[in-house]
Amino acid sequence: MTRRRALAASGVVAFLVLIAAAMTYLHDPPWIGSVTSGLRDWEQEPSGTRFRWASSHATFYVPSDRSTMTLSLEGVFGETDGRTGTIDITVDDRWLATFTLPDSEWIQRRLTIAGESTGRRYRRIDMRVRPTFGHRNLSVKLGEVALE
Amino acid sequence: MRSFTFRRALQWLVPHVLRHFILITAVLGVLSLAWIRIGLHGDPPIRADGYTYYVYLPSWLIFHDTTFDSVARDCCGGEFAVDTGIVRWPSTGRYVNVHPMGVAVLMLPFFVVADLLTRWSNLPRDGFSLYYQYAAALAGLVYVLAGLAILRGWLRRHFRPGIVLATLVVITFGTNLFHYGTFDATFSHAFSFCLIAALLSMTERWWEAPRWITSLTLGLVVGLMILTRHPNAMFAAFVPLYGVTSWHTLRANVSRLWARRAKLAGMFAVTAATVSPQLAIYHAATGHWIVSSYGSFGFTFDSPHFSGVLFSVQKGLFFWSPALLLAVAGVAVARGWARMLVLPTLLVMAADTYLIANWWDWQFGGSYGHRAFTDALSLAAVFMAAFFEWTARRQRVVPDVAVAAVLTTSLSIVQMIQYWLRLIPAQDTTWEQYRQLFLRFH
Repeated sequence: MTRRRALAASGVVAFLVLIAAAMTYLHDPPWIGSVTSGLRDWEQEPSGTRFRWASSHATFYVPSDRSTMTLSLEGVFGETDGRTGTIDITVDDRWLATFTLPDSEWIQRRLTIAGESTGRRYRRIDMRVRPTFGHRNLSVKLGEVALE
Repeated sequence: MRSFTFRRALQWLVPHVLRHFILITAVLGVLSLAWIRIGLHGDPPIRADGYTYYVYLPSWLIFHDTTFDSVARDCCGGEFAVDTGIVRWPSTGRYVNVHPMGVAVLMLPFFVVADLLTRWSNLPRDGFSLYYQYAAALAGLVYVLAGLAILRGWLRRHFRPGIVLATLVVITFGTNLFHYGTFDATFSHAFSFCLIAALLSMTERWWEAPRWITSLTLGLVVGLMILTRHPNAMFAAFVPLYGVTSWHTLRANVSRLWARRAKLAGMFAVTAATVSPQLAIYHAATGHWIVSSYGSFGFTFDSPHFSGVLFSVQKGLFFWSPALLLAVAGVAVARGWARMLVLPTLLVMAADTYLIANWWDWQFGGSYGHRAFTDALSLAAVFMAAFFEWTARRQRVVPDVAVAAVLTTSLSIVQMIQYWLRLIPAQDTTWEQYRQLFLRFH
Protein backbone atom coordinates (compact mmCIF):
# COMPACT_ATOMS: atom_id res chain seq x y z
CA MET A 1 0.00 0.00 0.00
CA THR A 2 1.43 3.35 -0.96
CA ARG A 3 1.71 6.16 1.57
CA ARG A 4 -1.01 8.11 -0.22
CA ARG A 5 -3.44 5.18 -0.10
CA ALA A 6 -2.66 4.58 3.55
CA LEU A 7 -3.39 8.21 4.28
CA ALA A 8 -6.68 8.05 2.37
CA ALA A 9 -7.70 4.86 4.16
CA SER A 10 -6.90 6.43 7.54
CA GLY A 11 -8.96 9.46 6.57
CA VAL A 12 -11.95 7.29 5.67
CA VAL A 13 -11.66 5.33 8.92
CA ALA A 14 -11.36 8.54 10.94
CA PHE A 15 -14.42 9.94 9.17
CA LEU A 16 -16.47 6.80 9.87
CA VAL A 17 -15.39 6.81 13.53
CA LEU A 18 -16.38 10.47 13.77
CA ILE A 19 -19.79 9.77 12.24
CA ALA A 20 -20.34 6.80 14.56
CA ALA A 21 -19.39 8.91 17.59
CA ALA A 22 -21.67 11.74 16.48
CA MET A 23 -24.57 9.34 15.92
CA THR A 24 -24.07 7.74 19.32
CA TYR A 25 -24.04 11.16 20.94
CA LEU A 26 -27.11 12.35 19.04
CA HIS A 27 -29.13 9.27 19.96
CA ASP A 28 -29.44 10.57 23.49
CA PRO A 29 -28.08 14.11 23.65
CA PRO A 30 -27.89 15.60 27.16
CA TRP A 31 -29.16 19.00 26.00
CA ILE A 32 -32.47 17.66 24.75
CA GLY A 33 -34.01 18.11 28.20
CA SER A 34 -34.01 21.86 27.66
CA VAL A 35 -35.48 21.68 24.15
CA THR A 36 -39.04 22.87 23.72
CA SER A 37 -41.09 23.77 20.71
CA GLY A 38 -44.45 25.44 20.32
CA LEU A 39 -44.03 27.15 23.70
CA ARG A 40 -43.47 30.89 24.05
CA ASP A 41 -41.25 32.55 26.66
CA TRP A 42 -42.08 32.35 30.35
CA GLU A 43 -44.62 34.87 31.65
CA GLN A 44 -46.20 35.45 35.06
CA GLU A 45 -49.84 35.80 36.11
CA PRO A 46 -50.72 38.59 38.58
CA SER A 47 -51.16 35.74 41.09
CA GLY A 48 -47.51 34.82 40.60
CA THR A 49 -48.14 31.64 38.57
CA ARG A 50 -45.45 31.21 35.92
CA PHE A 51 -46.62 29.91 32.56
CA ARG A 52 -45.82 29.64 28.87
CA TRP A 53 -48.36 30.01 26.10
CA ALA A 54 -48.63 26.81 24.06
CA SER A 55 -49.49 26.76 20.38
CA SER A 56 -51.59 23.98 18.87
CA HIS A 57 -48.65 21.56 19.01
CA ALA A 58 -46.19 22.00 21.88
CA THR A 59 -43.33 19.74 22.88
CA PHE A 60 -41.16 19.46 25.98
CA TYR A 61 -39.03 16.77 27.61
CA VAL A 62 -39.09 15.15 31.02
CA PRO A 63 -36.38 12.98 32.61
CA SER A 64 -37.11 9.31 31.93
CA ASP A 65 -36.60 8.31 35.57
CA ARG A 66 -39.77 10.18 36.59
CA SER A 67 -42.99 8.18 36.63
CA THR A 68 -45.65 10.87 36.97
CA MET A 69 -46.06 14.47 35.89
CA THR A 70 -48.61 17.02 36.93
CA LEU A 71 -49.60 19.52 34.25
CA SER A 72 -51.01 22.90 35.24
CA LEU A 73 -53.09 24.24 32.39
CA GLU A 74 -55.44 27.07 31.67
CA GLY A 75 -57.47 27.11 28.49
CA VAL A 76 -58.33 30.46 26.97
CA PHE A 77 -60.87 29.51 24.30
CA GLY A 78 -62.77 32.73 23.93
CA GLU A 79 -63.80 34.24 27.21
CA THR A 80 -67.27 35.36 26.15
CA ASP A 81 -68.91 32.04 25.33
CA GLY A 82 -67.03 29.85 27.81
CA ARG A 83 -66.49 26.99 25.40
CA THR A 84 -64.07 24.20 26.14
CA GLY A 85 -61.03 22.83 24.37
CA THR A 86 -59.53 19.39 23.91
CA ILE A 87 -55.98 18.40 24.63
CA ASP A 88 -54.15 15.22 23.55
CA ILE A 89 -50.97 14.18 25.32
CA THR A 90 -48.49 11.69 23.89
CA VAL A 91 -45.25 10.35 25.32
CA ASP A 92 -42.62 9.42 22.72
CA ASP A 93 -45.44 9.32 20.13
CA ARG A 94 -47.57 6.95 22.26
CA TRP A 95 -50.98 8.20 23.35
CA LEU A 96 -51.15 9.02 27.06
CA ALA A 97 -54.32 11.03 27.67
CA THR A 98 -57.05 13.11 26.11
CA PHE A 99 -59.10 15.45 28.20
CA THR A 100 -61.34 18.46 28.02
CA LEU A 101 -60.04 21.78 29.19
CA PRO A 102 -62.48 24.32 30.65
CA ASP A 103 -62.27 27.92 29.60
CA SER A 104 -60.36 30.45 31.72
CA GLU A 105 -59.76 28.15 34.66
CA TRP A 106 -56.46 26.70 35.89
CA ILE A 107 -56.62 22.93 36.28
CA GLN A 108 -54.07 20.39 37.37
CA ARG A 109 -53.88 16.94 35.77
CA ARG A 110 -51.66 14.22 37.20
CA LEU A 111 -50.52 11.72 34.57
CA THR A 112 -48.59 8.50 34.93
CA ILE A 113 -45.83 8.39 32.35
CA ALA A 114 -44.22 5.13 33.35
CA GLY A 115 -44.12 2.72 30.45
CA GLU A 116 -41.71 1.03 28.11
CA SER A 117 -38.22 2.34 28.63
CA THR A 118 -36.66 3.95 25.58
CA GLY A 119 -33.16 3.77 27.02
CA ARG A 120 -32.84 7.54 26.68
CA ARG A 121 -32.34 10.13 29.38
CA TYR A 122 -35.47 12.08 28.46
CA ARG A 123 -38.95 11.33 27.22
CA ARG A 124 -40.71 13.56 24.74
CA ILE A 125 -44.11 14.94 25.71
CA ASP A 126 -46.28 16.33 22.92
CA MET A 127 -49.44 18.34 23.60
CA ARG A 128 -51.92 18.94 20.81
CA VAL A 129 -54.64 21.47 21.57
CA ARG A 130 -57.74 22.46 19.71
CA PRO A 131 -59.07 25.01 19.09
CA THR A 132 -56.51 27.80 18.99
CA PHE A 133 -57.02 31.48 18.38
CA GLY A 134 -55.46 34.55 16.91
CA HIS A 135 -52.40 35.32 14.90
CA ARG A 136 -50.12 33.24 17.14
CA ASN A 137 -52.45 30.26 17.45
CA LEU A 138 -52.46 30.30 21.21
CA SER A 139 -55.11 28.96 23.56
CA VAL A 140 -53.48 27.18 26.46
CA LYS A 141 -51.19 28.37 29.23
CA LEU A 142 -48.87 25.67 30.53
CA GLY A 143 -47.57 26.21 34.05
CA GLU A 144 -44.49 24.58 35.54
CA VAL A 145 -44.60 20.81 35.15
CA ALA A 146 -44.25 18.97 38.48
CA LEU A 147 -42.43 15.63 38.23
CA GLU A 148 -42.29 12.72 40.67
CA MET B 1 16.89 32.45 -4.25
CA ARG B 2 14.34 34.69 -5.93
CA SER B 3 13.57 37.92 -4.14
CA PHE B 4 10.07 38.49 -2.73
CA THR B 5 7.92 40.87 -4.72
CA PHE B 6 4.28 41.80 -4.37
CA ARG B 7 3.59 40.63 -7.90
CA ARG B 8 5.21 37.25 -7.27
CA ALA B 9 3.25 36.82 -4.03
CA LEU B 10 0.04 37.55 -5.90
CA GLN B 11 0.94 35.10 -8.64
CA TRP B 12 1.27 32.41 -5.99
CA LEU B 13 -1.72 33.47 -3.92
CA VAL B 14 -4.39 33.98 -6.60
CA PRO B 15 -4.60 30.41 -7.96
CA HIS B 16 -4.53 28.99 -4.43
CA VAL B 17 -7.28 31.26 -3.14
CA LEU B 18 -9.33 30.69 -6.30
CA ARG B 19 -9.00 26.91 -5.88
CA HIS B 20 -10.20 27.16 -2.28
CA PHE B 21 -12.64 30.03 -2.73
CA ILE B 22 -15.71 27.83 -2.28
CA LEU B 23 -14.26 26.25 0.86
CA ILE B 24 -13.36 29.66 2.31
CA THR B 25 -16.86 30.96 1.55
CA ALA B 26 -18.35 27.80 3.08
CA VAL B 27 -16.43 28.33 6.32
CA LEU B 28 -17.49 32.00 6.42
CA GLY B 29 -21.07 30.95 5.68
CA VAL B 30 -21.22 28.37 8.47
CA LEU B 31 -19.64 30.83 10.93
CA SER B 32 -22.15 33.49 9.87
CA LEU B 33 -25.08 31.08 10.29
CA ALA B 34 -23.86 30.25 13.79
CA TRP B 35 -23.36 33.92 14.67
CA ILE B 36 -26.80 34.91 13.36
CA ARG B 37 -28.57 32.10 15.21
CA ILE B 38 -26.58 31.93 18.45
CA GLY B 39 -24.76 35.23 18.77
CA LEU B 40 -27.53 37.49 17.50
CA HIS B 41 -30.43 35.29 18.69
CA GLY B 42 -31.86 35.50 15.19
CA ASP B 43 -35.25 34.12 14.24
CA PRO B 44 -35.44 30.47 13.15
CA PRO B 45 -34.28 30.06 9.52
CA ILE B 46 -37.67 28.77 8.33
CA ARG B 47 -39.67 31.99 8.50
CA ALA B 48 -41.47 34.54 6.31
CA ASP B 49 -41.15 33.58 2.62
CA GLY B 50 -38.86 30.74 3.66
CA TYR B 51 -41.80 29.13 5.46
CA THR B 52 -44.03 29.05 2.40
CA TYR B 53 -41.27 27.77 0.13
CA TYR B 54 -40.43 25.03 2.63
CA VAL B 55 -43.85 23.95 3.93
CA TYR B 56 -44.39 21.50 1.06
CA LEU B 57 -41.81 19.15 2.60
CA PRO B 58 -43.41 18.52 6.00
CA SER B 59 -46.81 18.47 4.34
CA TRP B 60 -45.81 15.77 1.83
CA LEU B 61 -43.27 13.72 3.73
CA ILE B 62 -44.38 13.86 7.36
CA PHE B 63 -48.14 14.32 7.07
CA HIS B 64 -48.52 12.64 3.63
CA ASP B 65 -50.87 15.39 2.59
CA THR B 66 -50.66 17.64 -0.48
CA THR B 67 -53.35 20.05 0.72
CA PHE B 68 -51.47 21.66 3.67
CA ASP B 69 -54.49 20.93 5.93
CA SER B 70 -52.48 18.60 8.19
CA VAL B 71 -49.70 21.14 8.68
CA ALA B 72 -52.32 23.80 9.45
CA ARG B 73 -53.88 21.50 12.07
CA ASP B 74 -50.53 20.68 13.64
CA CYS B 75 -48.95 24.11 13.70
CA CYS B 76 -51.82 26.50 13.69
CA GLY B 77 -55.03 25.03 15.04
CA GLY B 78 -56.38 24.26 11.56
CA GLU B 79 -56.01 27.64 9.88
CA PHE B 80 -52.86 29.39 8.70
CA ALA B 81 -52.61 33.05 9.66
CA VAL B 82 -53.51 35.26 6.68
CA ASP B 83 -50.00 36.72 6.43
CA THR B 84 -48.31 33.32 6.02
CA GLY B 85 -49.07 33.41 2.30
CA ILE B 86 -51.08 30.18 2.34
CA VAL B 87 -54.66 31.18 1.73
CA ARG B 88 -57.89 29.38 1.01
CA TRP B 89 -58.91 29.71 -2.65
CA PRO B 90 -62.32 31.42 -2.62
CA SER B 91 -64.15 29.06 -4.99
CA THR B 92 -62.87 25.75 -3.60
CA GLY B 93 -61.94 26.51 0.01
CA ARG B 94 -58.62 24.66 -0.47
CA TYR B 95 -55.26 26.03 0.51
CA VAL B 96 -53.07 27.62 -2.16
CA ASN B 97 -49.47 28.49 -1.39
CA VAL B 98 -48.30 31.78 -2.91
CA HIS B 99 -44.91 30.21 -3.49
CA PRO B 100 -44.23 27.25 -5.77
CA MET B 101 -42.58 23.98 -4.78
CA GLY B 102 -39.13 24.33 -6.40
CA VAL B 103 -37.23 25.32 -3.26
CA ALA B 104 -38.79 22.38 -1.40
CA VAL B 105 -37.77 19.99 -4.17
CA LEU B 106 -34.20 21.30 -4.06
CA MET B 107 -34.14 21.08 -0.25
CA LEU B 108 -35.35 17.49 -0.28
CA PRO B 109 -31.99 15.75 0.41
CA PHE B 110 -31.35 18.06 3.36
CA PHE B 111 -34.86 17.48 4.69
CA VAL B 112 -34.50 13.71 4.49
CA VAL B 113 -31.27 13.81 6.51
CA ALA B 114 -32.88 16.17 9.06
CA ASP B 115 -35.91 13.90 9.32
CA LEU B 116 -33.78 10.79 9.92
CA LEU B 117 -31.74 12.63 12.55
CA THR B 118 -34.93 13.93 14.18
CA ARG B 119 -36.21 10.38 14.60
CA TRP B 120 -32.79 9.26 15.80
CA SER B 121 -32.63 11.98 18.50
CA ASN B 122 -36.34 11.74 19.41
CA LEU B 123 -36.98 15.39 18.55
CA PRO B 124 -40.51 16.47 17.55
CA ARG B 125 -41.16 15.27 14.00
CA ASP B 126 -43.17 18.32 13.03
CA GLY B 127 -40.99 19.61 10.20
CA PHE B 128 -39.91 22.71 12.10
CA SER B 129 -37.84 21.47 15.03
CA LEU B 130 -34.10 21.91 15.45
CA TYR B 131 -32.57 19.77 12.69
CA TYR B 132 -35.14 20.81 10.09
CA GLN B 133 -34.29 24.46 10.76
CA TYR B 134 -30.54 23.98 10.40
CA ALA B 135 -30.91 21.68 7.40
CA ALA B 136 -33.03 24.26 5.57
CA ALA B 137 -30.52 27.04 6.28
CA LEU B 138 -27.64 24.82 5.24
CA ALA B 139 -29.46 23.97 2.00
CA GLY B 140 -29.53 27.65 1.01
CA LEU B 141 -25.83 28.03 1.76
CA VAL B 142 -24.94 24.88 -0.17
CA TYR B 143 -26.86 26.06 -3.25
CA VAL B 144 -25.07 29.42 -3.16
CA LEU B 145 -21.75 27.56 -2.94
CA ALA B 146 -22.77 25.23 -5.76
CA GLY B 147 -23.75 28.25 -7.86
CA LEU B 148 -20.39 29.87 -7.13
CA ALA B 149 -18.57 26.65 -8.09
CA ILE B 150 -20.44 26.51 -11.39
CA LEU B 151 -19.77 30.20 -11.97
CA ARG B 152 -16.07 29.76 -11.22
CA GLY B 153 -15.82 26.90 -13.72
CA TRP B 154 -17.69 28.88 -16.35
CA LEU B 155 -15.68 32.08 -15.93
CA ARG B 156 -12.41 30.12 -15.81
CA ARG B 157 -13.02 29.06 -19.41
CA HIS B 158 -12.88 32.68 -20.54
CA PHE B 159 -10.90 34.75 -18.03
CA ARG B 160 -7.58 34.64 -16.19
CA PRO B 161 -7.56 33.36 -12.58
CA GLY B 162 -6.98 36.81 -11.06
CA ILE B 163 -10.00 38.24 -12.86
CA VAL B 164 -12.17 35.27 -11.91
CA LEU B 165 -11.16 35.55 -8.26
CA ALA B 166 -11.80 39.31 -8.11
CA THR B 167 -15.19 38.77 -9.74
CA LEU B 168 -16.20 35.98 -7.36
CA VAL B 169 -15.20 38.03 -4.30
CA VAL B 170 -17.14 41.11 -5.44
CA ILE B 171 -20.21 39.14 -6.55
CA THR B 172 -20.32 37.14 -3.31
CA PHE B 173 -19.60 39.89 -0.78
CA GLY B 174 -20.20 43.12 -2.72
CA THR B 175 -23.85 42.24 -3.35
CA ASN B 176 -26.56 40.60 -1.23
CA LEU B 177 -25.65 37.07 -2.41
CA PHE B 178 -23.88 36.08 0.82
CA HIS B 179 -26.82 37.43 2.81
CA TYR B 180 -29.21 35.18 0.88
CA GLY B 181 -26.93 32.21 1.51
CA THR B 182 -26.91 32.81 5.25
CA PHE B 183 -29.36 35.19 6.95
CA ASP B 184 -32.27 34.54 4.59
CA ALA B 185 -31.04 31.20 3.25
CA THR B 186 -34.49 29.62 3.07
CA PHE B 187 -35.79 32.22 0.60
CA SER B 188 -35.74 31.24 -3.08
CA HIS B 189 -32.81 33.41 -4.16
CA ALA B 190 -29.94 31.11 -3.18
CA PHE B 191 -31.58 28.32 -5.16
CA SER B 192 -32.40 30.47 -8.19
CA PHE B 193 -28.84 31.83 -8.23
CA CYS B 194 -27.49 28.31 -8.50
CA LEU B 195 -30.01 27.29 -11.18
CA ILE B 196 -29.39 30.34 -13.37
CA ALA B 197 -25.62 29.84 -13.08
CA ALA B 198 -26.15 26.23 -14.17
CA LEU B 199 -28.44 27.33 -17.01
CA LEU B 200 -25.89 29.79 -18.40
CA SER B 201 -22.98 27.42 -18.12
CA MET B 202 -24.89 24.52 -19.67
CA THR B 203 -26.30 26.68 -22.46
CA GLU B 204 -22.77 27.38 -23.60
CA ARG B 205 -21.95 23.65 -23.56
CA TRP B 206 -25.17 22.86 -25.41
CA TRP B 207 -24.29 25.24 -28.24
CA GLU B 208 -20.79 23.77 -28.39
CA ALA B 209 -21.97 20.16 -28.44
CA PRO B 210 -25.69 19.38 -28.19
CA ARG B 211 -25.45 15.95 -26.61
CA TRP B 212 -28.68 14.31 -25.46
CA ILE B 213 -27.58 14.31 -21.82
CA THR B 214 -26.83 18.06 -21.99
CA SER B 215 -30.19 18.73 -23.65
CA LEU B 216 -32.18 16.77 -21.09
CA THR B 217 -30.26 18.20 -18.12
CA LEU B 218 -30.79 21.69 -19.48
CA GLY B 219 -34.53 20.91 -19.66
CA LEU B 220 -34.43 19.81 -16.03
CA VAL B 221 -32.60 22.99 -14.96
CA VAL B 222 -35.15 25.16 -16.79
CA GLY B 223 -37.99 23.18 -15.18
CA LEU B 224 -36.53 23.59 -11.69
CA MET B 225 -35.95 27.28 -12.37
CA ILE B 226 -39.63 27.77 -13.22
CA LEU B 227 -40.65 25.58 -10.29
CA THR B 228 -38.57 27.74 -7.93
CA ARG B 229 -39.74 31.14 -9.13
CA HIS B 230 -42.17 31.34 -12.04
CA PRO B 231 -40.98 34.68 -13.52
CA ASN B 232 -37.50 33.19 -13.89
CA ALA B 233 -38.89 31.30 -16.89
CA MET B 234 -37.69 34.29 -18.89
CA PHE B 235 -34.05 33.26 -18.32
CA ALA B 236 -34.74 30.24 -20.52
CA ALA B 237 -34.59 32.76 -23.40
CA PHE B 238 -30.81 32.49 -23.07
CA VAL B 239 -30.96 29.10 -24.73
CA PRO B 240 -32.17 30.37 -28.14
CA LEU B 241 -30.53 33.80 -27.80
CA TYR B 242 -27.06 32.61 -26.81
CA GLY B 243 -24.45 34.39 -28.92
CA VAL B 244 -26.95 36.57 -30.77
CA THR B 245 -25.41 39.92 -31.63
CA SER B 246 -27.26 40.85 -34.83
CA TRP B 247 -30.06 39.80 -37.20
CA HIS B 248 -27.54 37.67 -39.00
CA THR B 249 -26.55 35.70 -35.88
CA LEU B 250 -30.21 35.46 -34.84
CA ARG B 251 -31.06 33.85 -38.19
CA ALA B 252 -28.07 31.52 -37.80
CA ASN B 253 -29.29 30.50 -34.34
CA VAL B 254 -32.79 29.83 -35.66
CA SER B 255 -31.49 27.51 -38.36
CA ARG B 256 -29.20 25.72 -35.89
CA LEU B 257 -32.13 25.32 -33.48
CA TRP B 258 -34.20 23.82 -36.30
CA ALA B 259 -31.41 21.36 -37.01
CA ARG B 260 -31.46 20.41 -33.31
CA ARG B 261 -35.25 20.27 -33.06
CA ALA B 262 -35.35 16.71 -31.71
CA LYS B 263 -33.09 17.59 -28.81
CA LEU B 264 -34.97 20.83 -28.28
CA ALA B 265 -38.21 18.84 -28.10
CA GLY B 266 -36.59 16.49 -25.56
CA MET B 267 -35.46 19.50 -23.53
CA PHE B 268 -38.98 20.95 -23.61
CA ALA B 269 -40.51 17.60 -22.63
CA VAL B 270 -38.28 17.35 -19.55
CA THR B 271 -39.12 20.94 -18.60
CA ALA B 272 -42.84 20.23 -18.95
CA ALA B 273 -42.57 17.03 -16.91
CA THR B 274 -40.66 18.87 -14.18
CA VAL B 275 -43.22 21.66 -13.96
CA SER B 276 -46.28 19.39 -14.18
CA PRO B 277 -46.55 18.49 -10.43
CA GLN B 278 -46.93 22.19 -9.66
CA LEU B 279 -49.70 22.50 -12.22
CA ALA B 280 -51.39 19.43 -10.76
CA ILE B 281 -51.31 21.02 -7.30
CA TYR B 282 -52.76 24.27 -8.65
CA HIS B 283 -55.49 22.27 -10.39
CA ALA B 284 -56.34 20.24 -7.31
CA ALA B 285 -56.55 23.38 -5.17
CA THR B 286 -58.30 25.78 -7.54
CA GLY B 287 -59.74 23.80 -10.46
CA HIS B 288 -57.40 25.66 -12.83
CA TRP B 289 -54.06 24.50 -14.24
CA ILE B 290 -52.53 27.97 -14.31
CA VAL B 291 -53.33 30.46 -11.56
CA SER B 292 -51.93 33.61 -10.04
CA SER B 293 -51.25 32.26 -6.56
CA TYR B 294 -51.07 35.82 -5.24
CA GLY B 295 -54.78 36.25 -6.00
CA SER B 296 -55.70 39.92 -6.21
CA PHE B 297 -52.07 40.97 -5.67
CA GLY B 298 -49.79 40.89 -8.68
CA PHE B 299 -48.40 43.19 -11.33
CA THR B 300 -49.45 46.83 -11.57
CA PHE B 301 -48.37 47.54 -15.12
CA ASP B 302 -49.63 51.11 -15.09
CA SER B 303 -47.14 52.39 -12.49
CA PRO B 304 -43.65 50.86 -12.78
CA HIS B 305 -41.09 51.86 -10.11
CA PHE B 306 -37.93 51.77 -12.25
CA SER B 307 -36.00 54.35 -10.25
CA GLY B 308 -37.24 52.73 -7.04
CA VAL B 309 -35.95 49.26 -7.85
CA LEU B 310 -32.68 50.50 -9.36
CA PHE B 311 -31.55 53.58 -7.43
CA SER B 312 -33.76 54.35 -4.41
CA VAL B 313 -32.63 54.37 -0.81
CA GLN B 314 -35.52 52.02 -0.01
CA LYS B 315 -34.33 49.06 -2.09
CA GLY B 316 -32.43 50.36 -5.13
CA LEU B 317 -30.23 47.66 -6.64
CA PHE B 318 -27.29 49.99 -7.31
CA PHE B 319 -27.80 51.96 -4.11
CA TRP B 320 -27.38 48.87 -1.91
CA SER B 321 -24.97 47.00 -4.19
CA PRO B 322 -22.97 49.76 -5.91
CA ALA B 323 -20.35 47.19 -6.93
CA LEU B 324 -22.79 46.10 -9.62
CA LEU B 325 -22.07 49.36 -11.45
CA LEU B 326 -18.80 47.67 -12.41
CA ALA B 327 -20.87 45.04 -14.21
CA VAL B 328 -22.85 47.78 -15.99
CA ALA B 329 -19.55 49.26 -17.16
CA GLY B 330 -18.58 45.76 -18.28
CA VAL B 331 -21.60 45.62 -20.60
CA ALA B 332 -20.20 48.68 -22.40
CA VAL B 333 -16.61 47.44 -22.70
CA ALA B 334 -17.16 43.67 -23.09
CA ARG B 335 -15.15 42.03 -25.86
CA GLY B 336 -14.93 38.60 -27.42
CA TRP B 337 -17.02 35.91 -25.74
CA ALA B 338 -18.60 38.29 -23.20
CA ARG B 339 -19.68 40.56 -26.09
CA MET B 340 -21.81 37.68 -27.43
CA LEU B 341 -23.85 37.76 -24.24
CA VAL B 342 -24.57 41.50 -24.24
CA LEU B 343 -27.74 41.47 -26.33
CA PRO B 344 -29.40 38.45 -24.64
CA THR B 345 -28.49 39.93 -21.25
CA LEU B 346 -29.94 43.34 -22.07
CA LEU B 347 -33.16 41.78 -23.40
CA VAL B 348 -33.66 39.41 -20.48
CA MET B 349 -32.65 41.89 -17.78
CA ALA B 350 -34.86 44.60 -19.31
CA ALA B 351 -37.83 42.21 -19.15
CA ASP B 352 -36.87 41.12 -15.62
CA THR B 353 -36.50 44.71 -14.41
CA TYR B 354 -39.83 45.61 -16.02
CA LEU B 355 -41.59 42.82 -14.11
CA ILE B 356 -39.84 43.64 -10.82
CA ALA B 357 -40.66 47.35 -11.17
CA ASN B 358 -44.31 46.49 -11.80
CA TRP B 359 -44.73 44.06 -8.90
CA TRP B 360 -47.30 45.36 -6.39
CA ASP B 361 -44.66 45.23 -3.65
CA TRP B 362 -41.74 46.54 -5.71
CA GLN B 363 -39.47 46.50 -2.61
CA PHE B 364 -40.14 42.75 -2.27
CA GLY B 365 -40.93 43.08 1.43
CA GLY B 366 -38.31 42.78 4.12
CA SER B 367 -34.94 42.27 2.48
CA TYR B 368 -31.34 43.39 2.34
CA GLY B 369 -30.83 45.22 -0.95
CA HIS B 370 -33.13 44.30 -3.82
CA ARG B 371 -33.49 40.55 -3.59
CA ALA B 372 -35.36 40.10 -6.86
CA PHE B 373 -32.09 40.71 -8.74
CA THR B 374 -30.05 38.26 -6.66
CA ASP B 375 -31.12 35.35 -8.86
CA ALA B 376 -29.31 36.79 -11.89
CA LEU B 377 -25.99 37.66 -10.24
CA SER B 378 -24.14 35.04 -12.28
CA LEU B 379 -25.01 37.09 -15.33
CA ALA B 380 -23.67 40.25 -13.67
CA ALA B 381 -20.49 38.29 -12.90
CA VAL B 382 -19.76 37.83 -16.61
CA PHE B 383 -19.74 41.56 -17.22
CA MET B 384 -17.92 42.36 -14.02
CA ALA B 385 -15.19 39.99 -15.21
CA ALA B 386 -15.28 41.66 -18.63
CA PHE B 387 -14.77 45.04 -16.95
CA PHE B 388 -11.88 43.75 -14.83
CA GLU B 389 -10.30 42.32 -17.98
CA TRP B 390 -10.70 45.68 -19.73
CA THR B 391 -9.15 47.35 -16.68
CA ALA B 392 -6.23 44.92 -16.59
CA ARG B 393 -5.28 46.02 -20.10
CA ARG B 394 -5.12 49.65 -18.89
CA GLN B 395 -2.65 49.77 -16.01
CA ARG B 396 -3.40 53.45 -15.45
CA VAL B 397 -6.95 52.76 -14.22
CA VAL B 398 -6.21 49.59 -12.25
CA PRO B 399 -5.71 51.39 -8.89
CA ASP B 400 -8.95 53.37 -9.33
CA VAL B 401 -10.99 50.29 -10.18
CA ALA B 402 -9.34 48.28 -7.38
CA VAL B 403 -10.19 51.00 -4.86
CA ALA B 404 -13.77 51.20 -6.18
CA ALA B 405 -14.18 47.41 -5.96
CA VAL B 406 -12.73 47.22 -2.44
CA LEU B 407 -14.77 50.16 -1.14
CA THR B 408 -18.08 49.04 -2.62
CA THR B 409 -17.54 45.46 -1.44
CA SER B 410 -16.57 46.63 2.07
CA LEU B 411 -19.59 48.93 2.21
CA SER B 412 -21.86 46.06 1.23
CA ILE B 413 -20.38 43.85 3.97
CA VAL B 414 -20.81 46.60 6.58
CA GLN B 415 -24.41 47.22 5.54
CA MET B 416 -25.18 43.51 5.50
CA ILE B 417 -23.96 43.25 9.11
CA GLN B 418 -25.99 46.35 10.00
CA TYR B 419 -29.03 44.58 8.56
CA TRP B 420 -28.26 41.45 10.60
CA LEU B 421 -28.01 43.64 13.70
CA ARG B 422 -31.46 45.00 12.78
CA LEU B 423 -30.11 48.54 12.47
CA ILE B 424 -31.14 48.94 8.84
CA PRO B 425 -34.93 48.69 8.46
CA ALA B 426 -36.23 45.65 6.62
CA GLN B 427 -38.06 47.95 4.20
CA ASP B 428 -38.99 51.59 3.53
CA THR B 429 -35.57 52.91 4.58
CA THR B 430 -35.45 56.70 4.33
CA TRP B 431 -32.46 58.83 3.38
CA GLU B 432 -32.48 60.32 6.87
CA GLN B 433 -32.30 56.85 8.47
CA TYR B 434 -29.56 55.78 6.07
CA ARG B 435 -27.49 58.88 6.81
CA GLN B 436 -27.81 58.41 10.56
CA LEU B 437 -26.88 54.73 10.38
CA PHE B 438 -24.04 55.07 7.88
CA LEU B 439 -21.11 52.88 9.01
CA ARG B 440 -22.50 52.63 12.56
CA PHE B 441 -22.86 49.39 14.47
CA HIS B 442 -24.95 50.60 17.39
